[in-house]
Amino acid sequence: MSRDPRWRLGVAAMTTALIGTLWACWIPRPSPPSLLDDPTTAPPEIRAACDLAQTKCTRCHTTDRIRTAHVTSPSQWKAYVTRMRRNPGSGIDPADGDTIVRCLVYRSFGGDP
Amino acid sequence: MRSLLVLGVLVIAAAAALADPADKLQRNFAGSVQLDYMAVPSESVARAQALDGATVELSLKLAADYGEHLSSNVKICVACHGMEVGMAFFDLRVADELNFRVGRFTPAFGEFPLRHDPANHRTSDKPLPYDMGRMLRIREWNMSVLPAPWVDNGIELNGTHFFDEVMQLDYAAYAVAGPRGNADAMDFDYRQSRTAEAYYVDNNSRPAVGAHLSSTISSPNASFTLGASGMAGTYDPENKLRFAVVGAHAVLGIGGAFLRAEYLARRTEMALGEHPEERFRYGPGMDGTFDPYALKEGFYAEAEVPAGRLGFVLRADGMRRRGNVLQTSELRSDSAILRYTVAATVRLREALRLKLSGERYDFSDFEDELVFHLGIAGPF
Repeated sequence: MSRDPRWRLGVAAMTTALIGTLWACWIPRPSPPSLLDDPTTAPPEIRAACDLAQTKCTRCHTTDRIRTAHVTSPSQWKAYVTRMRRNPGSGIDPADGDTIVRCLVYRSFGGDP
Repeated sequence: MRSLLVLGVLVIAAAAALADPADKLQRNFAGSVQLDYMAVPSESVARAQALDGATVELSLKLAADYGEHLSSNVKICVACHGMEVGMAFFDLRVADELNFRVGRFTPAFGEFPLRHDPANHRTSDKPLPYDMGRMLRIREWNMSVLPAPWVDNGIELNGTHFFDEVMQLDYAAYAVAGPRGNADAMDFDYRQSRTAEAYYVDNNSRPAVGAHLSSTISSPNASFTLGASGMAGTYDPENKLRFAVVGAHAVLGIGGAFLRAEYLARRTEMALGEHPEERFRYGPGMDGTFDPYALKEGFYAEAEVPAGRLGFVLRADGMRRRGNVLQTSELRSDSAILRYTVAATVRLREALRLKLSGERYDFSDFEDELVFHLGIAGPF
């Protein structure tokens, strides 16, 4: 297999694609839809919190999970995020977790926890 | 295994005793569905080599938090394999660094299993090392290295620790019932892991054990993870045929884009039987004995780039199997697959995504093939 020219071509194509994609990470591209229904009316710290949620949470799932979550109280968001941040490689430390909860509570209930 | 289950029950009993009466039970329901159509235009009838056509994958999950330290999860999955319980476990969390998980769960292994739900990953199918039924030549290859999600009964000790809000260290160690196969097996028999015919118990009364270790460095806009996993045990009823799976993964995240790479390798002992010269296609080695081991390796590397309502994935993955084969096998002593995938997702409306992908399979033993997927997926 290693002598097969298709193998070498495949490795070259994969390497090129990965380097190209890495380079593309620094090219401006459209932002994903905000977690907030109307970001313009949200306080700046909430917008920043939601940007953090967008970056951290999409490592494992799309933000659709957040949009469709059946959460009925701020404390439930707290428990939810705590469970998520304990997943391996979440990159969500306790302080980040609190910030993300502020975004989600604002999004669901319009206020701070 | 029995003593482990007793330990598990004791852990949960301790949790119940530790529970604060003021703790309030909170339940959360989540589900997802994916309808996917897989076409193989290079074949007039692809049924002989794949589970092609339309498939539905549905999951229904109920998580319950009994206060700060105790939670439970139950998840039902419906797909080609029928209805299965993907999760039924308790978590007793003493601290972030110490959690006991008891029940039916996916033991910690690699990175992709965390995203295995079709509403969580952006391609219609899974990377080849973790494929669970959508790859071409599924029967000849007997699926992947470790189909995801690998669901098993057992106990897991896991935890995570953050150093100065920059570095995260995760670990897990577990004992589970393990994969199954017959006494004269050449490889795992995945059907035995999900049939009531064999009961949902350990087939050899010996647990398979495993561990996972990963480290993540993160900032608000970027993260980098390195991890390693391993699992070993026996899989036949006589407790004689050994296996070992190892894996390594790396994930780089930059502003919502992700580069991921994983490598898995499984060394599996095959039953030689009384007459290996009749059973196997290839003869003995220079020393006159038959090598009873097969090595199955797999990898994937993918780039995921979101752009507004769109998301793009470029993926290269593959598998290689080395070792003797049965006389009837269509594989050789050294066989490989390479696959290249281009995929896009379109967010149609809240929580609903269209998934499109094209794949090119490059086989060492069969004709190359093209595959197209058209799917719709979303959580609810």
